[in-house]
Amino acid sequence: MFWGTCGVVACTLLLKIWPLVPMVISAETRERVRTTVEGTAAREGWLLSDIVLLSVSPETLRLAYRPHLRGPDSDDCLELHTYTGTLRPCP
Amino acid sequence: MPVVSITILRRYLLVVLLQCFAILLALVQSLNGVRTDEAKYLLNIPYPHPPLLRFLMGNTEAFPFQELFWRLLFATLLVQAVWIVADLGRSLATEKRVTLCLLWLTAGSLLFQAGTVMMAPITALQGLIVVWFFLKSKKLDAGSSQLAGVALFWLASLFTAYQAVLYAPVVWGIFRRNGCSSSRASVITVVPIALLLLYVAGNPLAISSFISAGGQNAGSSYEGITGSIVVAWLTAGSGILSVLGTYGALRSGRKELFISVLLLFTFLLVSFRAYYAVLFLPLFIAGVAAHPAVLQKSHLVAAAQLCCAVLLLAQTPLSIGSSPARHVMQRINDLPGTGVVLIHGSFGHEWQYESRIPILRYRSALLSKSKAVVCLERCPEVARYGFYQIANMGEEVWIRR
Repeated sequence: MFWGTCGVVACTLLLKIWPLVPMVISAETRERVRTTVEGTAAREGWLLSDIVLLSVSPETLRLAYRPHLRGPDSDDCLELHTYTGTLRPCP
Repeated sequence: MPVVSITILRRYLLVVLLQCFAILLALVQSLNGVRTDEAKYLLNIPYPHPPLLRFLMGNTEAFPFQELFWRLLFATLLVQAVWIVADLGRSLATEKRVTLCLLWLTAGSLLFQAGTVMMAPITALQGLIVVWFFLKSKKLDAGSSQLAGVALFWLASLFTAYQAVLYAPVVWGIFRRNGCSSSRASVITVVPIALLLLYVAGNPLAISSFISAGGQNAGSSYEGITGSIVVAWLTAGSGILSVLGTYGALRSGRKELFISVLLLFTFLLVSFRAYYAVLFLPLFIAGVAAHPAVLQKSHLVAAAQLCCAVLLLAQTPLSIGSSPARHVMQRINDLPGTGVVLIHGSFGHEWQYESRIPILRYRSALLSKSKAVVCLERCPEVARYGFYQIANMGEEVWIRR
């Protein structure tokens, strides 16, 4: 039971982390992601705590923007171009 | 038969009295309104803690009295946990057992934190259950479902709040005392911690929050931090329980308890927050229960603890001032029209909690899509963009014409 639960938790977490691996293994990518996300948040007025990073690729970041407030929150999936800072809805 | 009935009746009466105490503690905390950390959990904002409890809390957002519901629930759990404390003292004489319960109920950290919607009191409660397993569990079969239950509880505690890791030595002790080999006990204790680290690796916001928390003591002097930790340690057990519990943990011969106490002190040295004081509480109770010789003069201990608790309460002014967020956002929520709310200056999550409209950080470029602007710092250019200021709000609030 315990080991089964640990296995399920581990699989769930690994599935979540896998798209973020480029950021985990490369300090340069991590820094680029940080500056891009912080710059976009400052430009759009977003709170960093409303952003969840979903995946990282060489040119784009996929993120969920969810402004938290009482009641149902909207949940937008967005693609952010890391060099131009362009935002567009996820395809 | 009548004796049994009276005993049961007395127990029900005690439950009701304890519940009244819990309600009082919750109501006192509600006078302050929702604080930024509380809002973070009530809205399930995804940092810094893992998701288990905050996910449940976030799912009650639709409750009209969500804040009060969780305050009452947390206060009830903490106060009624005295029955676990009573069970820890089952082998003691009645007077000593009652004193042990009194030590729990009059501990400063319980009085000041039971009605807060924070993770620390719940972690303390989980810590109490962990020490109960540690001190009370009889020989369980190494492969038994009960031991698996303890392991699952450990996993759940870690995924409620990171600070549960401070009780890891005691958890390890449970497995060792119940027939697990040293290596097996270590694996069962460490695997959930490894899963927690895996969770952290996928949450950059949690990592940055750790870095910020780790550096928050950097600007304070060594004397300042040490003084704060001593005050937190004393407040946690209203003085008497703090001293007896720490001494008991040291003298009981249960090294796991004392290592947990030391871990907690070390953690506070790195990342001090006054609300972590409650994490001492289960360790103090375990220290007293494991070394009941400290309760030899139980009348004296009870009287001294009561006096200290009263003194502590008398020295702490009743805080009624809530943040302006509720007052301001109630006004803005009621206004017609669409658009976001812009806030200028540093603000906490309580503003999001009180809002029905998305909140953005102020930038003059965003004024065109805003319905209202709250200036916690001065924002002189707003008047030029067709906004008028509302009077008597306590804060500078501008509304679109």
